[in-house]
Amino acid sequence: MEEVRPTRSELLERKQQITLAEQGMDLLKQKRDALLIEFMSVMDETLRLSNDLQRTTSEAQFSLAIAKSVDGVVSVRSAALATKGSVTIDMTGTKIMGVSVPVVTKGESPLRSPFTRGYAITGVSSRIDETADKFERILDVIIEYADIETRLKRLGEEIQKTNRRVNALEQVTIPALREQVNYIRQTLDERSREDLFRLKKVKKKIERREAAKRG
Amino acid sequence: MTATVRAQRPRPAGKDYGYTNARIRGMRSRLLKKPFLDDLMRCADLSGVIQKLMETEYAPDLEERLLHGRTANQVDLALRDNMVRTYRKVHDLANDEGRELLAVLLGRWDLFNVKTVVRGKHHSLSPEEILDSVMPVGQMSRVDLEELSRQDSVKAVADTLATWRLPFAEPLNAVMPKYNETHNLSLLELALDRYYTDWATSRLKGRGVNKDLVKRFIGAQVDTINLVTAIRLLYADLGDQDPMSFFLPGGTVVDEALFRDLVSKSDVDEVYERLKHTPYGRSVEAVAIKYVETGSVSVFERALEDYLTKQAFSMGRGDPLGAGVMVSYLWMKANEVTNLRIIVKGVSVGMPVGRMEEELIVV
Repeated sequence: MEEVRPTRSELLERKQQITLAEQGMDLLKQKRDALLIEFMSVMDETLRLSNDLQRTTSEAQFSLAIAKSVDGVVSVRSAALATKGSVTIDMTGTKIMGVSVPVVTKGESPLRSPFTRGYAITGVSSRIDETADKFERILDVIIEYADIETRLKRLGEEIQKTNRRVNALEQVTIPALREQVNYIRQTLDERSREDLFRLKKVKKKIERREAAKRG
Repeated sequence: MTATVRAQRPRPAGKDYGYTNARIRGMRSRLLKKPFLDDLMRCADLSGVIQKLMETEYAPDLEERLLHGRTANQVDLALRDNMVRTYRKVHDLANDEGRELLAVLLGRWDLFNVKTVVRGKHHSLSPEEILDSVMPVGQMSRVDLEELSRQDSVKAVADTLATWRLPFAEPLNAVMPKYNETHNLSLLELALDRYYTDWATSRLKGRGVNKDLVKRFIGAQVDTINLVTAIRLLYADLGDQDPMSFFLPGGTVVDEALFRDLVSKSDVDEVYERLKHTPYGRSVEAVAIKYVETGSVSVFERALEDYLTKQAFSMGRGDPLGAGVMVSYLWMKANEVTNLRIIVKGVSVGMPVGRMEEELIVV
């Protein structure tokens, strides 16, 4: 236990500290609960997108396998040469319950129509076209997923941090303060009992001295 | 253009198909049969497939490619090599008229290769990247394509083609100013696609049973492309683009009026109705339910491709001394390679046998 001066002012100060710590703990618990609610809704969205990503990826892989088999790797590669491009994303930030989270948004949708992919549709099979479409959908979901997953990660970290703080207050700080208050109270009580005993002794001595004088 | 040195074989001249067709019938007898494909589909893994294929005509190509790894991609490349080799062999065996017909039919691959090089140059890709995606079975050899892919720009590719007096320079140069202005690659591709059918028809001018046969077949090919394009355009948002700009001339059934009518339809049901009395009506209608289930245009494309493949196969059953035997063999070979690709890919990714069987083209 840290050095505690067993005085009344110290007792008052410690009591004030306990009240403050309990208020802080309540606030942190409220923050944690609010973060958990936000976390659960983000979690639902993340799970939805994760399933979406898995489904889209397997569909795209299957389409690619079929396109490669029927049209041949050469035709697929050749069409891919025409569709070469880049994906732009915008990165900004926002705050959820005071937590900074990055926001990832699509600069320009990666989804293109068969007429804007570069090749002429008269020379590329619809199988290759559909495969390109499915892979563009993957890109689209990946960008959404990147945004939501980062949000989930940050919220998770913040919940852990808040939880650690609540636990520290609940399990360490407040019990320690209560212990200190008890210690000060016991010390002060002891002191007052000693004082009382001393006063009684003095009173008895005075009474004996006065009795001797009279007698 | 460079001349490829090949072994000297006896080659008939003029229009004598006797020798050519006899040799091709021999080659046709060595095509893989359905029971072999069934066995192949039931292989536990890719090694099993490779082992079985090593007992076939694909062995020399596989041996060479598998040095770089026993992967599905290497097998795919070996199948491509075998197809290129076989097409070259058929070309060497053909008589003068046969070569002329082959030049037109395989001109589709030249078109494909020119488009691939143009795509690569449009995005400033290296010659190595471009050459991975070419199929040198037409007039242009791999050496020619290497030279073409070394050019600096799309303009330089067009100029080189013009220097070699190859037909595809003309459409490229015609749309070059518009391409330079918009940098829109599909303009060049569309011009090339439109040009091919015109060029093929002009090369097949004149009388002759064999020329008519090939003309009809190319017409059917163009028809299927136009039909698939029309169905793809049904639900497409074209903006201010004219749907007729996607029409390819040279078809036998789908002319400009029919194409215009098809693209103006509001849904697929109306398209079935319109095609009912054409040779393609039955193929399109047969997959109508599958289209409703999957919502994928590729089911129509597949049905029309199957129809075309059957047409090509039937050409071999006509005149035994005509060009049909040669043309049908080319299609049979391409079909065999496609089916092998489906099996190789299917087995390597663990696709169920039933699913592979569904994907196989006419067997």
